[in-house]
Amino acid sequence: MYRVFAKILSNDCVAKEHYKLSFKASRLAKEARAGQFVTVRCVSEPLDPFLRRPFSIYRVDGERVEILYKVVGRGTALMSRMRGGDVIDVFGPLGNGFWLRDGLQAAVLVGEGVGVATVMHLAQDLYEKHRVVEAVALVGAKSADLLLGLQDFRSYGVDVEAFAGKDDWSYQNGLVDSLSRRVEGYRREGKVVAIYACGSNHLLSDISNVAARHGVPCQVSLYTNLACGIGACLCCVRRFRDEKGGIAYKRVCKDGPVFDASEVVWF
Amino acid sequence: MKNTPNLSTTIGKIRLKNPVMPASGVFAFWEDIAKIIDLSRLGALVTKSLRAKPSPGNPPPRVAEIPAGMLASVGIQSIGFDAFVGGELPFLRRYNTPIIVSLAGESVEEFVGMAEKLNSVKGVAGIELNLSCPNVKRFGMHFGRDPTMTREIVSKVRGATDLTLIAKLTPNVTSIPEIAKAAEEGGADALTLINSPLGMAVDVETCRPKLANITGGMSGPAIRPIGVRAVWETSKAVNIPIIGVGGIASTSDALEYIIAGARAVQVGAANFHNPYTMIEIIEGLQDYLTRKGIDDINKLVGCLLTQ
Repeated sequence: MYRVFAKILSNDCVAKEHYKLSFKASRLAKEARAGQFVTVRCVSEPLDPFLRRPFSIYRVDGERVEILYKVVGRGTALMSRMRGGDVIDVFGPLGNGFWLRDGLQAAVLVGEGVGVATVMHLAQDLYEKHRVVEAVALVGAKSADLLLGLQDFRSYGVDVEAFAGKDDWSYQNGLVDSLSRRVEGYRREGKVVAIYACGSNHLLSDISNVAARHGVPCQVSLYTNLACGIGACLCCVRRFRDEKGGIAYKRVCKDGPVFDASEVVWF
Repeated sequence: MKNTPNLSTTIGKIRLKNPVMPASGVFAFWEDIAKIIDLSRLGALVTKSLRAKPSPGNPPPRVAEIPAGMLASVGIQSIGFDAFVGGELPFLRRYNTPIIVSLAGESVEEFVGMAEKLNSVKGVAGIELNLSCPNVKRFGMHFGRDPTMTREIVSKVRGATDLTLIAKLTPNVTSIPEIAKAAEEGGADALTLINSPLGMAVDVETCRPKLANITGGMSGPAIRPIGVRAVWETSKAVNIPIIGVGGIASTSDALEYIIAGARAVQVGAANFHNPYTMIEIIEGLQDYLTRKGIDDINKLVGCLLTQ
């Protein structure tokens, strides 16, 4: 991990309140693994907002790194006003990425909202390095205009199914049903399948139940507010099951952000 | 100026190569920061407060952002004294930097017990007594709000150790100098000022507190003037050195504390904002002294002009 004062190459609005920002960082582009993240700070505002903002890497292309973000507060609002040529303070790559088991034949990727970014990098990785793995992406969003990355998934040879709500979470049941059917299908074909997901706590918890019911491994990428990003400050802990069946706090930034879904205590 | 200005200073028996060190609690784990900056360059390494026994800390969420800072309530999650001595301490000993162990006892006996155990442990230069954690109930800040209690803990630990003894005090009192004098009378070699001021933040959409613990400790540049004022007032009331801490994020922030009376400084939340902060401050102090033609940083300590 290291800090880069990276030159912004583009910062485009891709949907209402959603932006895709790309910057030049050749070492980061080469070293970051799918599921890892970076933290970002606007150089123009030295102390406020104070904390760095974490973002999954959406995709890398040569020396170009892309992140996808939604404007939710002051930090992301400032980011959205940055332009090509501006400099952004980027720190990473951080955390553990997804891991692929030996003999994996099918991967079901689930991305909800900006959670699409986290699994997009995995789709790219599968396409470039693990072509034998058949990949499908289930993409969910609160409305159809917020379904992101559909074309990019397809460009990686991923079969995409999209689920949109009516400005609500109504799409989640359909997505979970489809996940269940697909996993069942792969199992019937005797394929070694795994689920990789990033989204809201509620959806991830449902996905985790599907995985457990079918006995399929499932990795989830979690989000919490964090401070240091390097496992030092213990601010970002969440509850997990430990080996003895008790509850233990783990650091989302350093022990994760990708965890085996069976470890997570959801609510 | 021909010679490089002197940055080294002394806190109790500890010789610091420069006056910059991390604040306690910032690094509960050091492995990653050690990959980013060279810990040998720092004036000292201050550990996260150790508890006598392992403790899970407070439930999440533990952090929320505030203007120019953060609000946190980790609640001294600790691996416990024995795990520290067996694991973290050997790691820190690899660096050519004095180690200051922060202790958070739940009772006078626990403070004394841990201090006694440290006598037989290799490689510890000093003890910082955390008499001021805002986020644990029953103890912590509770001790540091009472001059009698502060004097008692410091003097009993003093009786148990010859290591440099530093008392870290809370700003959440009416008079910091009063508590500071009690710590000095108890036998503290130095004081660390300030621990986090208590704060609170509310999510207005959910009507819930932003932290599970409801209240938390404020840190970051937002609190710097509180710390500088505490150091200034206390430096006039005691004769022992003060380590200034609270909102230091740049060289000029560190200089404010030093000019107000701090002999050394600690950097806390700014390490999260920019992990290179401490190194940048060490280099910045060097540049400042050179620019001002001052040959020794100790000449700046408490040099505030008030007339």
